[in-house]
Amino acid sequence: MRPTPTYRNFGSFAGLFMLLLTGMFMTACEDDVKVTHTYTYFEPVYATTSEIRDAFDVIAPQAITSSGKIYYLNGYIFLNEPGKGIHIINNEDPSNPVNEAFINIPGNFDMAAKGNILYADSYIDLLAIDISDLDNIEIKKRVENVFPIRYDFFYNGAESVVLTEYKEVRQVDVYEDDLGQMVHPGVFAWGHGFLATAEFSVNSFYDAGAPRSGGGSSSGVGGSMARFTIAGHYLYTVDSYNLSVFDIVNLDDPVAGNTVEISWDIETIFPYGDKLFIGSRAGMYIFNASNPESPYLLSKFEHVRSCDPVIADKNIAYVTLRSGTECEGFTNQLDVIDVTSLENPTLMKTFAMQNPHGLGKDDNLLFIAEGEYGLKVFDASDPLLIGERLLEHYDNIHAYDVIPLDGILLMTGDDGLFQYDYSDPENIQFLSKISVNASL
Amino acid sequence: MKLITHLLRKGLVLSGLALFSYSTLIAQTTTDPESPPPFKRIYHEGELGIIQGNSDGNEGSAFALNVINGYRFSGQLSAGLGIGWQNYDEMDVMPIFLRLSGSLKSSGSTPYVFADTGYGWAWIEDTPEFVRILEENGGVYFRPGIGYSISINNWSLNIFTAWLMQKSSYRYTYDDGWGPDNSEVSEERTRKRFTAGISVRF
Repeated sequence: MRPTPTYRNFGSFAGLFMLLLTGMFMTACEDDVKVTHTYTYFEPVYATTSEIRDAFDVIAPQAITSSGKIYYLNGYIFLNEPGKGIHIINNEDPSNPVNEAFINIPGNFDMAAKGNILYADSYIDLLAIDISDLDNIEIKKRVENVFPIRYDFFYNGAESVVLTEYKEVRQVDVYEDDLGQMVHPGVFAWGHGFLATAEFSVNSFYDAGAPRSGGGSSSGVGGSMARFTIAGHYLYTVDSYNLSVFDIVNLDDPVAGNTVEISWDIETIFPYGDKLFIGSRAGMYIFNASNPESPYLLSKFEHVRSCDPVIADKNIAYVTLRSGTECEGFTNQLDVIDVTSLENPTLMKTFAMQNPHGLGKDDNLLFIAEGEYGLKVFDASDPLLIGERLLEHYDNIHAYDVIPLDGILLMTGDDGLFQYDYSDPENIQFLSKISVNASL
Repeated sequence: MKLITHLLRKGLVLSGLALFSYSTLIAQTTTDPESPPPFKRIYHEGELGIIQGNSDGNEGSAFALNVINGYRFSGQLSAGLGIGWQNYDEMDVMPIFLRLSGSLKSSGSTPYVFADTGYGWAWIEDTPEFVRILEENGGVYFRPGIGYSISINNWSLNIFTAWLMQKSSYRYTYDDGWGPDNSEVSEERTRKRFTAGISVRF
């Protein structure tokens, strides 16, 4: 039976239809796509080690643009300009401090001094700087490549380079095809859009610190945020993981010694007798430095994760814990810890604080820099009642770190360097201020 | 809130399709099945199709629904108004379009051609929590195609294939680890696809 015309037509059309259907899958029938991906990332900026080392210089006093850690020695205040160098301030008259010079040290965040030698970091190097004559400051020795962990460091061909900063970059990428589905934030299935994920280390630069007094009559006094400190004939430094020892028997010839691995997120170091109190975001470490070349761990006092400067006095350690983006956690408090038994530190009392940073103690007075909440002065004669004995609260200033010096308090913060006379604790007097960005 | 908006949109599309389908059903019940359909008359058509094309793997196949109500001017020419729903991986599109079609013969089974022209509203499907949609826009919809109509009493079963173009764009931000809304993506896409399917016309 012959097919009807309708079915003959249908057969012809079905063939054509199948041809088209095949073409539907075979043909390059592609979408026109224009994708614009705009994002911010932090681009690493590198400098060669020779550029960094050649940049050391002593120049005329500069306006303070950002105050970092402080150190005091023989009537002079050494104020760190984070990442840039050190302001030398004549403080023979605390009511009228005079900014006298600026030492340009790229990558400097920490310092300590003894005798006529100022020890300062410069990214990966330790500098021993002779400050006996302020008109003729010079490097006596550069100990190279002793701080490799704090800063990314690699070799680019024959010349080494140092990561100096991260520069914020707003990037616009335009693609003429798909990004694909987003696998996770910033990463797309189809090969575009991988973002820079380098660690933003500028903050960790700011964590680096200044030192506190050590043994020996001619070393200076640093703050509680210090990463450098001097005890006896040794300079101790901490990076995020390690405790490093430098022999400074010959002050102008520091020699790198042992390095002791501690943990991670190490922040501060404070000498107390022949012990070293080390603050980290996970707890307080106590090291025995009776053999100063080879300190070893005695004990650890753990606490919640937070930023943690520590000082010690009269068998009691004072630890401030603070929260924040960088510090993690939600804890803001002062822990008072009995360290009579160094192998078994015991929490005595905890007092609520607002956002405590550095702290310092002189006899019965405890000074706590509360960040944006200002400066607090407590009567610490009874360690169990500190929180109930607030003597003064300067809440209209930003306070980062303090150094109490026999009646004169040095305090740094976002607003500059402040000094107070606390010789009469009932009547603390403001003495002077060097403001950030003040014209000289 | 996102879920509610999503459901409302889908509800809107389905309501539109249902409304069109309902009018089709009413028309069917008023047609005398014994008498051949006159050349000049209102017609109703429902389509179900698949959409296929190359989009660098971002979107695979999609399916499409269309409902058209129109008028047959003669045995060979007709025009209608349609509403549809295209379900892509990342977007839904609701086109509203004008259909013009012409068949080779005025009666019986016959090849035919058609062209849809209109505007497709588009919106993003589900998004992760870290994504914030800033803008989503549809665009021009165009679909020319050919088909074959098999006449069965006073209705017809059609198979068709067509080329489809649908413009759309969207813009969103997301947290890439450097903070909320740090990254922004905008996409302008012209989908060029082939479709195939079947339809029923009354």
